[in-house]
Amino acid sequence: MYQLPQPKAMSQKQIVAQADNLWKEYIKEVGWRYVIENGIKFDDVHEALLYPKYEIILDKNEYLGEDDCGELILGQFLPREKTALINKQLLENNDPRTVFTEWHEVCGHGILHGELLRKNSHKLTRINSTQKDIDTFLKHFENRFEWQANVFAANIGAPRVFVACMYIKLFSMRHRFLYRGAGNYTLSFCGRDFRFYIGSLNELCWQIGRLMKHRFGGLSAECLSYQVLDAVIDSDIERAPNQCDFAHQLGNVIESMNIL
Amino acid sequence: MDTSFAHKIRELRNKKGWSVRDLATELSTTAGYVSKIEARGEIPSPEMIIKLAELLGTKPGELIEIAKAEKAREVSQAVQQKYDDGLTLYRRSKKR
Repeated sequence: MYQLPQPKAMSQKQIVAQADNLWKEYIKEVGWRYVIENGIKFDDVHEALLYPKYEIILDKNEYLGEDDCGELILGQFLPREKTALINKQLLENNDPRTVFTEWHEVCGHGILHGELLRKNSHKLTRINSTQKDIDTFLKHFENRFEWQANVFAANIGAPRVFVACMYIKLFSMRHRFLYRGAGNYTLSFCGRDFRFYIGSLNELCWQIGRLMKHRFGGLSAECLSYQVLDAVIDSDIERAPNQCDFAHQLGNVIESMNIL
Repeated sequence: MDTSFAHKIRELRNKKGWSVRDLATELSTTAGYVSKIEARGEIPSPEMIIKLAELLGTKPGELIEIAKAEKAREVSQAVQQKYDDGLTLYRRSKKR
């Protein structure tokens, strides 16, 4: 069996920088106002930027079945045909993994690894993605290939700057959210107060992600929670009061657009 | 073999050596609109099909035939879906 080609090592920072450049191009195409008002939808980004620039086709009409280990194949990338396939079964079941799989196949494999995969396309005709591959978010030492695709996909589908903008807009916050440990928290969301018992930092990120996900084209709360953690949460009580840079920088961006 | 309208346009454009953006410029439209045709399978208006045929060096009749066949397929699928939904509802009501 042919082994997956190893992509060159990249730090998370390098991948995020690449994703940010692509994101800036999208903003140039459609404008900030459009994105703030409509949120990020995969179809919009594909139509305005990803297809015109990379010509990657997205096909959602095929059942992909299971791989050799009996795991459901969520998506597949065909390098020679420059085509990303999403398992029709996901769409039929309204599976929350659908949107991230789209980003993962088109951006992660199609754009970030596109050239490498096309060079090897005579030996490697398709790449399958299963739940195990999507789960490699935090385990880059296990599978560099899938980890890179996941980080890139997450930072195009939910760039941190946009997560922070949406957090300011939806939660009317001017500072990072301070996690003080397990306990009761009140989140003021779109003018309504939601009271939760939060057991862990991950749970807090998940709750914030869940409330914001409609602005991200249905990206799952779980996937958003990784970006929420990086973009808007502070768990260091000592440092938190000095975090005015965040409000200053992002608040100015939003206010200058006169949208809030 | 893919016989869709989208595939045909993509094939003709590649033969010309044009990018999506090149074709959009020639059509005086946006790259997003060309994406809609090539990537989302949207069938453009007859006037736009004629313009596409002229630019891509093919007969308008050929493109219109492909577009017509695709529209017919879409309609037939939609009718089939409605029929299946109706049948499911009927069976459910019978069970009760």
